[in-house]
Amino acid sequence: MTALEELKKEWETQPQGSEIEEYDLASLKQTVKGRVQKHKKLAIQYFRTHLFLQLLVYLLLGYVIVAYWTDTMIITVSVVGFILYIPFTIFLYKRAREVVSGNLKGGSADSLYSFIEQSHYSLHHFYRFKKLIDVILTPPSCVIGTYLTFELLIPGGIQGNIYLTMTMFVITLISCYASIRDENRKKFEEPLQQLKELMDELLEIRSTET
Amino acid sequence: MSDSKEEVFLKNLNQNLGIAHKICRVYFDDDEVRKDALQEMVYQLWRSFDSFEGKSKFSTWMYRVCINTAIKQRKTVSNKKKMEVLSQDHVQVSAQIPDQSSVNREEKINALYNAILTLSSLNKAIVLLYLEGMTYEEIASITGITKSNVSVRLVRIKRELETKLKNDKNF
Repeated sequence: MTALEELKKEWETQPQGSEIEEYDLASLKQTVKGRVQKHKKLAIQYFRTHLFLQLLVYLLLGYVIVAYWTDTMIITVSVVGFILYIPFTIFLYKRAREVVSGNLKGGSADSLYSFIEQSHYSLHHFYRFKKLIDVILTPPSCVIGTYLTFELLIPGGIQGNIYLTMTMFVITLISCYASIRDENRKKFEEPLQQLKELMDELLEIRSTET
Repeated sequence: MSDSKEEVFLKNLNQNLGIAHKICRVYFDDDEVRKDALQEMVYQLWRSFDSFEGKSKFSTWMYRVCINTAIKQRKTVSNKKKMEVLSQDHVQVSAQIPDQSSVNREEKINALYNAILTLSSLNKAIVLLYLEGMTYEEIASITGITKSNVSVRLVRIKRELETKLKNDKNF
């Protein structure tokens, strides 16, 4: 008999309940309430920064439209900004609802393989869409932000500060991409890598079946 | 929440609560993380209790939900670092194997838990289900791999665990 088989016998005769605190109705309700709050809090934390940023953008663009409604160019740029951001806001709102309801709907009783496959697919699908949005939204946002800042706040506007405007645009763009890259790494690439390692391990086992 | 549903759930949960504790212990080496994971497992079990149709045993269904929850909760990066340190410790103490008679049962089980902690997520699930006395068929159904692959995999895991245990000072 191997050492592990001997240990299996010991394992099976482990005391099961003496040190384990059982759940009653009150502690179950408390646990459920605590977890619901925790999941909602996590989802809010996740989307708070994005939603706050968008709210700021809408407020700024709204203010600019009202304050400079006679300037056709400023109005056009601000309206373009609104149009660019509205689909993204709708998408984020839907996603936030999905995350909250997904975490609250209950654990999966699928096999481990199916569970990991679905988790990977879902996260990968969302990440691909987010990357697309990042690429589409970030450069025009930086252009609009830089344009409005120089035209409205800096004496001489863009014409009088062409090199400074270009430098400001490049710095803003680099800062945005650095921040997005950091966020993507922590929230998507690392979890996806973890899931992929598991997927690969399972696929390797399944490939030996044939 | 109807009373009867809660009562049935609580009765089954308390009878099988050891499953969740063991899964937490093999997947997480930090007490706080373990407590949090246990609460999450109880919550996920409760939320999905309606989907439990009684086709399998409650314990089998509970293993599925709890293992999936543990994998979702797992913080691989930090755990990996700790596991690497743990694995190195096991190797370093190989020259200090104490007298077998001084090793008690609890220490042996703890050594086994520590050795399992160093395995990959999938291997943890397979060996835990094996230690819990599940058949190869049940393990295959929970993990989603075939019965023959469970058997092959278990041979490798046993070998790996036995090597780690031989190098453990408490074993």
